[in-house]
Amino acid sequence: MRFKRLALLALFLLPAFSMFVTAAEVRVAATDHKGSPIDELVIWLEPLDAPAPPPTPDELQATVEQIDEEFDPYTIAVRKGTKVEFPNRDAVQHHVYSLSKPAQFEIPLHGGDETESVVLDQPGLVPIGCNIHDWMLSYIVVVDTPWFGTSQADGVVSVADLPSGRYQLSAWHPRMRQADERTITLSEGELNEVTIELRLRPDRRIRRAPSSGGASY
Amino acid sequence: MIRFRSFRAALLTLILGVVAVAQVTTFLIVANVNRQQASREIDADLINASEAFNRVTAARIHLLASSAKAVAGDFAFRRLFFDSADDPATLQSAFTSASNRINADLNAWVDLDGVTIVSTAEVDEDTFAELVFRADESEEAEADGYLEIDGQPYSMVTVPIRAPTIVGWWVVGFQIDEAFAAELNAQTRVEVSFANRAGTIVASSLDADSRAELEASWLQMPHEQNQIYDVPLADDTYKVLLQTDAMEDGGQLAIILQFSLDEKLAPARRLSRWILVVSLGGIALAAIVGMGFARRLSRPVQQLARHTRVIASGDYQTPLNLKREDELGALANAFNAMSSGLAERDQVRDLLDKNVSPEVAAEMMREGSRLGGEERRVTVLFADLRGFTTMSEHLPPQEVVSLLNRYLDRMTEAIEAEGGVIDKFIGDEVMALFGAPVPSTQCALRAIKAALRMREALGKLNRELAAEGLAPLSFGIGINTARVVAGNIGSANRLNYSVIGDGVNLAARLQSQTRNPEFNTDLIISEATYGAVAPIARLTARDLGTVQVKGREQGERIYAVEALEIDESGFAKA
Repeated sequence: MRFKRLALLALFLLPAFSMFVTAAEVRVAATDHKGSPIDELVIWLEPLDAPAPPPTPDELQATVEQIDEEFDPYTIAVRKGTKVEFPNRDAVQHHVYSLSKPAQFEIPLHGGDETESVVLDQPGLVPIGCNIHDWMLSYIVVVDTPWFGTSQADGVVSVADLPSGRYQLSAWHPRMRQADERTITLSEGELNEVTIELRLRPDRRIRRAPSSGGASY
Repeated sequence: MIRFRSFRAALLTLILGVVAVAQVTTFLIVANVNRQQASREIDADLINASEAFNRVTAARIHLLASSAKAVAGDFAFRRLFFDSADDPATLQSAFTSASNRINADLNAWVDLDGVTIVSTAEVDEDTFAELVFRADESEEAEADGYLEIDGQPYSMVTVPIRAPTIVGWWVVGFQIDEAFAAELNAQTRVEVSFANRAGTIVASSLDADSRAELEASWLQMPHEQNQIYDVPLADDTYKVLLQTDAMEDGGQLAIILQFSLDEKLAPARRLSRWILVVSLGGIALAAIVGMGFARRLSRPVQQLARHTRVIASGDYQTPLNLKREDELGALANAFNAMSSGLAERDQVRDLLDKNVSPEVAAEMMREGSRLGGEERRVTVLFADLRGFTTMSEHLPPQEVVSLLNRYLDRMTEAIEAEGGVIDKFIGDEVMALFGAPVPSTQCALRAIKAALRMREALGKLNRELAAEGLAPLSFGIGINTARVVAGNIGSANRLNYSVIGDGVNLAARLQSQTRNPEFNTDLIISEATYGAVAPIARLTARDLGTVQVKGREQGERIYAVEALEIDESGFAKA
């Protein structure tokens, strides 16, 4: 608890520190093997020279909505111990579940405006689905570092305020079997640009067919 | 070449030949077209069966895949999958239950590493690995293929088990067995057989014998993919289409599609039999009709042939009665016209013989109107009755003609006996030729001999007349030998063979000289005649001296013939 308070203090002091201690920023641009930017790519950086700073309470909040019979976002990274809320914005009910090793939970059929939450305290990949809507799928990547992000449609994700030093940069996308890992060194006071090219596998999400439930033969 | 003795046989053979050739040609063409058509239909059937196999397989696979996916979506199974490592017994029993929900011959659950977790068939751990990896790489997260388990081919498909991401694979399949072959056969009527990679026929719609024969021979068949071959099997020709599909674990599944050409040709054979019956009927009909026709045609021909023999025998009077309107009728009419023409010619010939001497007639018959226009040395004889005109006034006309004809008949006989030719009768006058139209070197001698015969004949006639109480007849004869022009003389339509020239006139004048009582003779010859006869016969003639003849400047020496002693040897030379 003391440790937590200290971290909170550090957070408050961070703007003041930044006046004197210049932090590093990393900008990761990801493309697939065809050169197309990769959207919804999750990246995270784990420091190799020093332990990661402890999480602050604000860090440990995340939301995965059920809206328009989809999960939003599709991919998200959260810090270990984050309490993820699953608010249902739809008129229909959903049955959210995950059978992953890091977290096995089930939120049985629940209606609109009911918000359930789950604390994810094991690092790893937690795919979540809806038992009554096969196409609903979201991936929560639980990491033990404060430095992570998800790319936008331009394939770029930026993470700021990192101390200089060596990091393991990991990148993962649902169309990848395993996370891409590489070691990078960040320098203070400048923008560290990392370009990565990833080979993506076919997108095998179940096609959402509004009218017919059959397969497309 | 066959030689026919009868026209009828030739005609009948021709008709039958033409009909038979036409029928046989038709039969062969129809048979050939049928065979080609059957062959084309079989080709289409085989290709259709090949497509049907692919379609039915795909449909079955799709059904199995859908069923598997539906069962795999069961939440309880999803959860169970994660607990599999902890509780294999539950997983096994749950798998059995899930498999029962799907009417599949083969079920297996495979993990993401391709390792078989549970299976209804005894398989190796990695049997489905390749299939699963292929599905994993595909966008549909599905893959299908063929697999051989214990020598039995299966068609199978793998679908993902999602929770909600892919956590495992479900392999479902059906065995390509006798029932499947029978079903394809029922759908397509094509015989379907399947062979595994060892070449063993594992399923077939064929009966046991054909199947055994196929098994023994199909590996020797050409193995060109999607080519159609003719293969003899069990006393029948089959068209065979071979389709091969690679199997997951190596080797190939062979789908042997075959159709009996005999079976396809069965309706065509029935048609062929009918055509044969109709053809034979047609030939028989042609034989009957042809026989009648040939008889109708040959009978008048035979009649015509018989009639020619009738005509050849000289009977021109019997007409040929065919009563036909056609060409043969026209031929019969022409025949009748010909026979009447021949009859007419005979009459003409007859008349000719009567009107002109037989020699002239024969010469005219032979030479036609070409007779004429040639110079000949001939002897011309003129004989004239004395006082006949006066006598005829006291007799009735019939008796005049009768008497004249009697006289002329005897004279003619006498002249012709010596080879003379009656040129013409001019009333009671006779003009005769010797040495024309048939040339003779002894014409002068013959003329004198004829004159002497005439004298004799007249004597005989006078004795007859005396007996009948009639007055005797007397004549005067003039003979001259000279070169004259002989030929057919007259108009285009009417010709007379005759001679013209000065020598002819002289003979007529000499005849007139017999009226001179001073000469006291009925036979006067010219010097030319005398000169021609004297060397070859002992001629007793009185020299009458030279007389002045009308129309001649010079005098003509003439002789009265008293007697003639024929020098036999000289005569024989004539």
